[in-house]
Amino acid sequence: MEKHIYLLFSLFSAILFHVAFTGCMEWDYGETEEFNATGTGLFITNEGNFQYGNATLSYYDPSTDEVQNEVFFRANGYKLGDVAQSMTIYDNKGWVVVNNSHVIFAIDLETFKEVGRIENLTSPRYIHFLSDEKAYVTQLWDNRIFIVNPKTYSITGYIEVPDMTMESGSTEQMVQYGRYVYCNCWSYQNRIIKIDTETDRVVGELKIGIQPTSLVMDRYNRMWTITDGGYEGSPYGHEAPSLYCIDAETFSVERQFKFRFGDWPSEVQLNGTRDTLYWINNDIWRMDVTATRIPVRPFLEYRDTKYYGLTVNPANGEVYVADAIDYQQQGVIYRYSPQGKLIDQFYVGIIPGAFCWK
Amino acid sequence: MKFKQFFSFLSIVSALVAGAMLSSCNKDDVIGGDDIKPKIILDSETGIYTVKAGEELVVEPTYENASGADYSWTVDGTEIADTPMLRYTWTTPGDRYIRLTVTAAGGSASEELKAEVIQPAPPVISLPVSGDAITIALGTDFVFNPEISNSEFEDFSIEWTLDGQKVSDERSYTFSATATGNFILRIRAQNSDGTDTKEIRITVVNSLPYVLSFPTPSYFEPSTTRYTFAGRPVHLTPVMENLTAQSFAWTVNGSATDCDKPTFIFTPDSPGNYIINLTVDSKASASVKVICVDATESQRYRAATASSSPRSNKVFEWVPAPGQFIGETQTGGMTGNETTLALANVWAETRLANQHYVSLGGFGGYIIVGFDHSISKRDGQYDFAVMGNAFLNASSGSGGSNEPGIIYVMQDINGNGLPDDEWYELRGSETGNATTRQDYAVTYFRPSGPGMNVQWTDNYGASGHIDYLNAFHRQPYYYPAWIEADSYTLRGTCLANRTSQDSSTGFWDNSAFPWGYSDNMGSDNMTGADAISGSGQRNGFLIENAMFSDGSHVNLQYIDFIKVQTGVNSKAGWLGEVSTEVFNFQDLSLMPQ
Repeated sequence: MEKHIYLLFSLFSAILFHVAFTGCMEWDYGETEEFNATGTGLFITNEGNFQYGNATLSYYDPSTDEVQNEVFFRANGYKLGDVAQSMTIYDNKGWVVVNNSHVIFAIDLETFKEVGRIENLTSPRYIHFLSDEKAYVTQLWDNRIFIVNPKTYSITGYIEVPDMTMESGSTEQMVQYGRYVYCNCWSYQNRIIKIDTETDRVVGELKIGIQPTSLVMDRYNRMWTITDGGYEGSPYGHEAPSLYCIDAETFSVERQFKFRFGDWPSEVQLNGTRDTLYWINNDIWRMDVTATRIPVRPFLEYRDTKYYGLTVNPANGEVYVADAIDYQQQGVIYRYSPQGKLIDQFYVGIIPGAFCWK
Repeated sequence: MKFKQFFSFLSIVSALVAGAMLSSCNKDDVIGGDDIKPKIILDSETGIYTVKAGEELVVEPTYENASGADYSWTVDGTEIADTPMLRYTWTTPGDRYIRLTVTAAGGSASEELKAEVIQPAPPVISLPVSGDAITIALGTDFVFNPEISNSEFEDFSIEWTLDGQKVSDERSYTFSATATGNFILRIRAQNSDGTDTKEIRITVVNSLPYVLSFPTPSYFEPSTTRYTFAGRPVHLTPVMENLTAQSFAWTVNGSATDCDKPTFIFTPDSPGNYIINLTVDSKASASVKVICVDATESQRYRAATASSSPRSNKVFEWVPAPGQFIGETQTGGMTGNETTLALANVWAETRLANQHYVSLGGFGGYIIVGFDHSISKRDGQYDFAVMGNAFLNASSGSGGSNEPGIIYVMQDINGNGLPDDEWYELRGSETGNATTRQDYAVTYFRPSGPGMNVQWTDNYGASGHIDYLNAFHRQPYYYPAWIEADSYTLRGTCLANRTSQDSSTGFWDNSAFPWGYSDNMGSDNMTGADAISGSGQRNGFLIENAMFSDGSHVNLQYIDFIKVQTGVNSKAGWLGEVSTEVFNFQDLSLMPQ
């Protein structure tokens, strides 16, 4: 049976649910290593297999082409947990969101040692910082966005999302425009919500296609999201997915680019100057944010495998693609020049899904 | 609505461009300025054109500022046309990127288009019939219900003829055997891309031929010979078809016995070879050899050593039923080279060694593994574990994904290192339940073409198919490439499925069974199998639960081989067939605590 998709959409199950609220984590402490990762670098969060607690963190130095895997475990002596979803840097700390362990670890960016953790989150996905003392944490299977204090590593409040149940709860990536934070609602959802950061309330929403997967803001203050269109047999429906350009000021769709029915695009990303979009739709695609139609030729062709994550080096436009291969073995990262030439490739952990530039 | 938004956006863009053109002038006399440059307006929103191989592609853009222009259409640097309109025919499928360049007095413009040249798709007919002939009993009906690919086109049609006479133009046809004799049934399916025909020779007889045989211990094991130790019974049950099965006469080495049941429990009291013969209804006979080995159970025991592996080290037979992960090279991890049993076994062995899943496909699919030592029975503790990927649903703590695998164990009675001995099923919570079928058999039929459902029939008169999931797993065939025959039958115990769909959410559940099955969140789901420890989901099993086919206990001191077999025949909508997955087999006495 199709369990990957099943896991992705319908389950995040009870076992974990009660661990989230009743259990305290028992980390298996072991020996530690000393790291000193100065300079720029790229973190890769490897989800690992759902329920297997084999999420890991990798660190890659583009100047030396060296990769270090399992740096969290090696630096701290205990495992990262189950399903590492994303990582964000703020206040010179790396904030690693571990979805199914219900925790966000804050780590030192050079030693990778834990400096704090926010626990008792439902099923955290992404963290967005508003200040040294306030951040939002989006969730799956919860109709609330958690408000946390990064300084005290504590949950300080919640933003209720209207018309969302716990079962269909899904808030994802966040971008900010002035006092407003926008967030795409993905799993069994079809909207972007608008949050007033002064009142911590949802003050608007924009209905778009089925399941917007990701959200970025270009240099012209236009948001881009890409829907996956659901899937065949989904109770929430199945439609041709689209790439949307949304004006942040008016909070309205400016442009819509339709994909074919049956396509399953994801991972819309921007380059450093925020004028070129990248996304995955089997192949890797690239388009100027001012374009009026999607190019007919992909930037990087499909390699008969599973492209799962994507990022662009903000400094030089090099493109990194994460390949989950078969969701079982160690994934591979491919590094391409801005012209699409393969520069390097290296093994990371199981199911590499997200990147974070230091 | 969304399309309208996009269309209106294009209109706005066009209007803006037009406005800019009208309001500006070539004031700096710059040749090629935006206002006098040619402009290409394609007759496709996406710039992608789909055409069948052998058919002409016509691209008819409109142009602005293109008076007296030169046109060039190139593919990989080679010009294929120099006219405003492109007319071109490719004879082979594939993607072609076309560069259109227009050069006029005001400059030049260029667009890249894509021609997707696709293979014509004539229909393909697939029937759950072995070969091209079928025998039907007089007075019965037979429903022909073919799978036909590429039948979704509007111009699709089908025609059935019987001995040259048209009898139907429906998707299925019921043949009524009203007279004995031979008949030719012809199916003709047609769409604009072509035609497929299939002929079936139907023979109607007064009564169907008898089938009476003894099963082999596995699909690839040719011998029906049974093995046992002195004093341990062997339960002998034949496979029968087309027999009324009213009388049974069993002999041992030619001597009559007093058994008149379909199952003969034979207990040799001394080593030797025994020929058991069965005659059913005084019409059909079959024999099977039972070898009582000249060794005791303890003499065959292979003790673990310091270097013994706690995990299985050998896959003897991976014979899955068809399924979405069979032959899956993209996310299923297969290479496409698994075309023989040996290669398939090696692949599965590597997967298990890395604790990666091996799917057993739909009902009856199985894997047989062995260890480098015998797994001993322990008192009060699980003896071995099988890893799976079952889980429960969130808030309810029930439902979720449970795809039960029936566990069978075997001792290497004949000592040859191969699993050709005697299988004993492990008792589970559904053993003896009225809805549990211990004699269930499903026959799967190889589809005639790629991308098609796999049809099956069972020994209870039901039929169905393993769905081809085009959205998720697009390998051409879900039928194992290493099964050479165009149909194969898998036998075993089948539980009543627990598949359900929530009427309000639409979510599918495969609820857990109480205990006794792998890939199942039963009470035997072992502790420690959680997200934090990282040990994954696994079920513990007791050798003590081994039983004969009638459910009576068999006392085994150890086992050498384990078989796991998908134990339900079910599917869950878009999730596809319910298929047991195994990740690892563990001797718990040797696993680190």
